[in-house]
Amino acid sequence: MKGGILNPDNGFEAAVKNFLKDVMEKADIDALLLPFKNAVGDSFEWRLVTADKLAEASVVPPVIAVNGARALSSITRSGKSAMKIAALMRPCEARAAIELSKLNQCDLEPVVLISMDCPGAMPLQDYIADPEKVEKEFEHAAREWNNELIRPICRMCDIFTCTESTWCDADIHVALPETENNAVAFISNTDKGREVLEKVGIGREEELGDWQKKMNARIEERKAARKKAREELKQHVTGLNSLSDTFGSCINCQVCRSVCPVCYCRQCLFNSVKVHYAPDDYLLQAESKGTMKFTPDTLLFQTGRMTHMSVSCVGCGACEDCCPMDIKVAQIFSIAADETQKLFDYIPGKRDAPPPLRVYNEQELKEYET
Amino acid sequence: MMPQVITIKKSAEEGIKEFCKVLLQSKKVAGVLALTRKNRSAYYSLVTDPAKMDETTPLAPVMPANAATLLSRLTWEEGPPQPIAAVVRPCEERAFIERIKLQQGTFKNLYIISMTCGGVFPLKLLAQGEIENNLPQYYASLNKAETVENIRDVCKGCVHFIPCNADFTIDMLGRNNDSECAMVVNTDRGEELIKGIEYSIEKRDTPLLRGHEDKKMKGLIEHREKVGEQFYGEYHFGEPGMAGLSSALYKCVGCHSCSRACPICYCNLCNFNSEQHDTRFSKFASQLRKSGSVRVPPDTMLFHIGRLNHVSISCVGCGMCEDVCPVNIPLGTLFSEISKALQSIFDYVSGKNPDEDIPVSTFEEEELTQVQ
Amino acid sequence: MEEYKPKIIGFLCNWCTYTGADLAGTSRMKYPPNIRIIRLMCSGSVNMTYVIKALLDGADGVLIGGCHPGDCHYESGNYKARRRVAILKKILNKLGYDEDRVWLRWISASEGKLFAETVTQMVDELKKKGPAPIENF
Repeated sequence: MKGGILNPDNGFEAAVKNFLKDVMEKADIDALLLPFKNAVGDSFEWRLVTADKLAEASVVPPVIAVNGARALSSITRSGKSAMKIAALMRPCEARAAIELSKLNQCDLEPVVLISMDCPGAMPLQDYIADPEKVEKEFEHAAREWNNELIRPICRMCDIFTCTESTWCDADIHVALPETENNAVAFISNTDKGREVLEKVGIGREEELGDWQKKMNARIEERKAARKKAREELKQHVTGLNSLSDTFGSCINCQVCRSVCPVCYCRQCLFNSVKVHYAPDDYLLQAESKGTMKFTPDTLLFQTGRMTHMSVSCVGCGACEDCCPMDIKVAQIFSIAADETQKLFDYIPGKRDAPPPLRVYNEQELKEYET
Repeated sequence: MMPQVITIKKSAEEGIKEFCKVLLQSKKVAGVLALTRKNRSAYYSLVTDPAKMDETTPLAPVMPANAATLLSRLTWEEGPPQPIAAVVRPCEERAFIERIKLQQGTFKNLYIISMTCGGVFPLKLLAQGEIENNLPQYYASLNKAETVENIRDVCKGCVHFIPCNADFTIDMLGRNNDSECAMVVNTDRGEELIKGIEYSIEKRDTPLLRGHEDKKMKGLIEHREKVGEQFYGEYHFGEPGMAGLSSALYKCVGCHSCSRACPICYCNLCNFNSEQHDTRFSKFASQLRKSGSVRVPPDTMLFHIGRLNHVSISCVGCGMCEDVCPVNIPLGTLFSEISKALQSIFDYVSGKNPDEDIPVSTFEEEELTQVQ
Repeated sequence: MEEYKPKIIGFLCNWCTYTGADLAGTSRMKYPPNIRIIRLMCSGSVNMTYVIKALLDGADGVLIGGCHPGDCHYESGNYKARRRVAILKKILNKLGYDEDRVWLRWISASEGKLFAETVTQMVDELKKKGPAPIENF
């Protein structure tokens, strides 16, 4: 793997900010989309900014309060963008943005999408309860690989970086080779990315063999963690009884759906009159077992949502971060997503792969024909 | 005329379960909607088999959803084909009245059983499995008509703990509920319903019947009013002016859970989710030129102030919004305080009088001259 | 430091206030140019969400103009508008925003002078109040 290396004096965040400054000056970029700490300091927010605001940005915030793909989509969803934007976000968010662009919910043409090696994120609700404490924990956790305070969904994530085995289709990926002199490397994945790096003057590409080796080892670790998590979680969802238990405390608030970057429907089928039946039907249904959970159709919502979006699930964890009943939504959906994505050999976030449910092969999946 | 009071020599919870069982057994109702709490789960159950009432916990101090939304579904169009009884809290009953005014439900074939309410615990407590531990304290405070510390914030400031339109009201506040369930029959249709059922029915006085005139209730109302004001004033919205609101709303992630959980927000496609509120890129560009910084996704303030404008007049202060908010914005306090201010313009109390139109849906020819 | 020029957005009903404004124009009545007019068919068709949007997007004041009570071209539109404005003003007031930046005025088609006076008055008062202290995000 090759990338342009910068040897910064002041660490990762400073290196990235200098890079972004150069990008704006030399690569015809008009605005940046970055996370910032909000005015009262109790959370983080996305801002579209001009170069002079760069210094206040928070390059790797401790939490993903709003998924970057949602933020980007809100800007480029409606109307043609006349400005070129460079957007920096975690790999899962960048992948979600690419998925949304395939679903016509985000125009990436004027966007230079930049991802970075991700240390994981902290649970959002813990952060909201005590921002200072969790920020300190994150400072420590970000420096230590696989710290146990990072969210469970992050600790089973194997797409936190961009190597040849788990590439990320962002235009540019910022890598932390963690060499002796704390170098930061910029890898280009697309022509657009290459152009930008050349204009900025980090065109020279150096081998990142050590970094690649280290990342591959970590990816293997995470793949193993993922396998283990799959075995554990499967117990919670195998069979209707387990499924009912696991989702038993679900109150159908549907926040998981509304914060999911991939669930873009303005009105969800599972929140519409299509799933509201006549009172007679409910009484009949109740009579069959003598009682029924009302609000009904919790499992219909959960499994239905899974069938709709799991092929595009990037495991960002927004759902689990916001669930008021502490259900392991992200972990469960992510494991299910592995299986549905495998059916089509589909990797969400790969630019030139069309969404599986939009295309078909005349000769395929014969094993599913009964 | 002194109303009738049904007394069942069991605890309030066991008593109401038995009452519902009898209603089902005698086929007076085809179904009962009541809460069920099992460990960390809580949900409403629609019960048709009397034996299954045993599994329910109708008086559990939790609110996984405001029952008004569920009652709308159960009384859709012409209502259920056979009668249904529902055990719900006063704010849920009031929210349902508001919904009926919005053509989202009907009283037809529906009997409401409510109670004088001591509030509910936040969903977080349920998710952490802490409800059981808190029950003794809850009932102890309930018995003394005091407010327990860790219920929902809006409950701490709620003065509408006596139901307005229930057919039956379980008298709970300010009395011992361990061994006797006392239920007041409030309406004629309630009396009709229990005809022929063998129960100890007395005509007697209970604090509930004196309602707001009862000394304990009065004291509780005064205390709660102060708490509500305090919350809005300092605790949650400290700074004066819009700055306080802005400070509280910065961390909003735009999930719109508050709107989905709200019993009054009944729109299938919320206006603020529709294409009408998409922002064209040109607007971002011009804002960027002006100030060099644009927060995205946009329109957080517009959503909250807009929602206040749409529904707060009917707000019943149930606190669902606050409970489902993933970032703990004190929305319940905000909406219920604004609601009070709006209702005072029109001398309106949401959910109190089913025959009273919601103020925005009507008008007088001579009024509000000060607005001009 | 740029001089503060109050921006007013006017939601004017077609039959009365808009025509009144037109009359002010054809009669060459002078009034400050700070108002940006949006013509609607009736004050009762003013969606308050747009008033909120105007305030959030930087309007220093909003004027809603309609027919006098009893004279609405659609009979009851202005009565409904009055209630809606009462509610919005109360919300703004409770949130700490100066509700007197939102004006509801009945101006008929023949009251060109009243329209000019209204705008003049509003600009004067808004100048005294200064720019609207509101944050949009």
